[in-house]
Amino acid sequence: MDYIIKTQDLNYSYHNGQKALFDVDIGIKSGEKTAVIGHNGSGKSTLFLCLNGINKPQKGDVFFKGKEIDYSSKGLLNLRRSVGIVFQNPDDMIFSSSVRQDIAFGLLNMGFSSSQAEEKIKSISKFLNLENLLDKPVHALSGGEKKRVSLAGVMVMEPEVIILDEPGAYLDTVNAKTVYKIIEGLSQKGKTVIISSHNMDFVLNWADSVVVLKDGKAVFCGRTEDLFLNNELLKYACLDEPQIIKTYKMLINKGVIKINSPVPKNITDLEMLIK
Amino acid sequence: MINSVYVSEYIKNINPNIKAVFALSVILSCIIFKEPLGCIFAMSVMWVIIIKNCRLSKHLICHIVLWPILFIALSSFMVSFDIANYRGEVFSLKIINNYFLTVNAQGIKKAIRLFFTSAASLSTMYFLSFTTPVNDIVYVFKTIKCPKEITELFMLIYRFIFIVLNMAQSITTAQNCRMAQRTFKTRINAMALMLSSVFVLSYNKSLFMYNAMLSRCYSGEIYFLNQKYVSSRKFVILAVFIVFTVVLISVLERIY
Repeated sequence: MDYIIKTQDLNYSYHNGQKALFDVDIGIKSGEKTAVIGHNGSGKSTLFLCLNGINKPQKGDVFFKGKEIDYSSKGLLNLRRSVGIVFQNPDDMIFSSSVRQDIAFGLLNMGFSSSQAEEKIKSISKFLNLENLLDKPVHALSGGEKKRVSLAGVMVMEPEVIILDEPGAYLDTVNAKTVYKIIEGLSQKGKTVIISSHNMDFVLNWADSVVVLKDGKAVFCGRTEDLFLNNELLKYACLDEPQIIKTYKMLINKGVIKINSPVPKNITDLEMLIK
Repeated sequence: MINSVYVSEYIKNINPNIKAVFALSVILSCIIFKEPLGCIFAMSVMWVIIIKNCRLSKHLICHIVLWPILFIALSSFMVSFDIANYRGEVFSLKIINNYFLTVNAQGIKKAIRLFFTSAASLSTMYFLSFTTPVNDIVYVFKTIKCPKEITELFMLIYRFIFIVLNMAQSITTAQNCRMAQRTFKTRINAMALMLSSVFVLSYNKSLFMYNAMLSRCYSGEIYFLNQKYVSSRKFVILAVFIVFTVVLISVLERIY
């Protein structure tokens, strides 16, 4: 199968000896929307850092476009041009004195000139509605603005794969909706988007495929619908069943819809099914 | 607070090198001559420029002026005191044997000069802070060929000041919610805990930040955007005139 990112027997331990990932085998297809789910401390963030080459696994391999990651500085630079990562806490991402400077950081590292970077900043700030914030100091931004700036800093580099670690964290519903809209926009542009989330309803609605991590092990990697119909696995991985799936199962039990009806991803799908 | 103040486009877009040279010249003129009238002129001009170009509330002006001025006044006041084995002209207080805590006319003069020099320098620094964002200061560092390590450190320290302050504030609030202010002992204990936590947390934060930098192709050097600035002839003439006037007033004051 044609995977853009693939891991094989991936093992990673922290410096203090604590094991974070055990024999993780996952594959992510190009242009697909993938959600990585699991409880806190299951290894989601560590896995993301391995995919970006920041964490070098002690055992096993990570493949990007079929090639093993080259951990030389040149190889890592090439990988990071193609695989961008947005951290959970935007305060960890933003370190420059102004928004403009922060968005330019990755571009200037990639070798773009100041004028080329300015052009790209202009277009990304228009897309993310950051035009009025460009000259603002970063500490004066609100949580939602910081999140959008951290997204802009990665999106402006135009990577093929964008990893977002809990994009809805620290945000109110309005700002979270804006961020999810941006993520949807990325998928529509053909980018491979990988996110981690605790919101199962969102995962069901958004993701094409899911990776489930439990205590550092990948216990599932496959279609979203297949996961949420597997009660045993959900229980084992301590995951909630999405509301839509609960209703879907209830309607099957009551004979309102047929047993083999397609799994609804959202309320509209469910409504169509009932009709 | 200073960063959120509206600054007119005119002064903001002026080449920061010109603003830095202007501010430095005024400060140097005040420090070299230490003449109160020259310093008062410099101080007044700086505040006129600040108020004319920046939208400052009265509250903010009071907040940023009051405490530093009080501190300068107190420090200058202390300078007027001396310990000598003779009585002072203005004031004397016997401390031990033949030694007195004294205040002389010379001491008062020195204190006044120090107060006005410091106040003028402070006002000039405020002018620079209000009209020149940190990015522009980085531009000045680059122009004077400051080692890149210092420039990068300056930028990261600037960012960390706010991160550490936020952390300290959050921890203090959490402690206060749990009655950390009950007695003097609990207060001291809470402060010690807060400081140690802030130290550990900021170390962790720096690791996260380093990872974030690596993920965006950082390879050991931070590059800065080249900004476009205006070299306003009008401002240069005004700056030269102000510096010249400060020097002239100070020289005349010294002569007469």
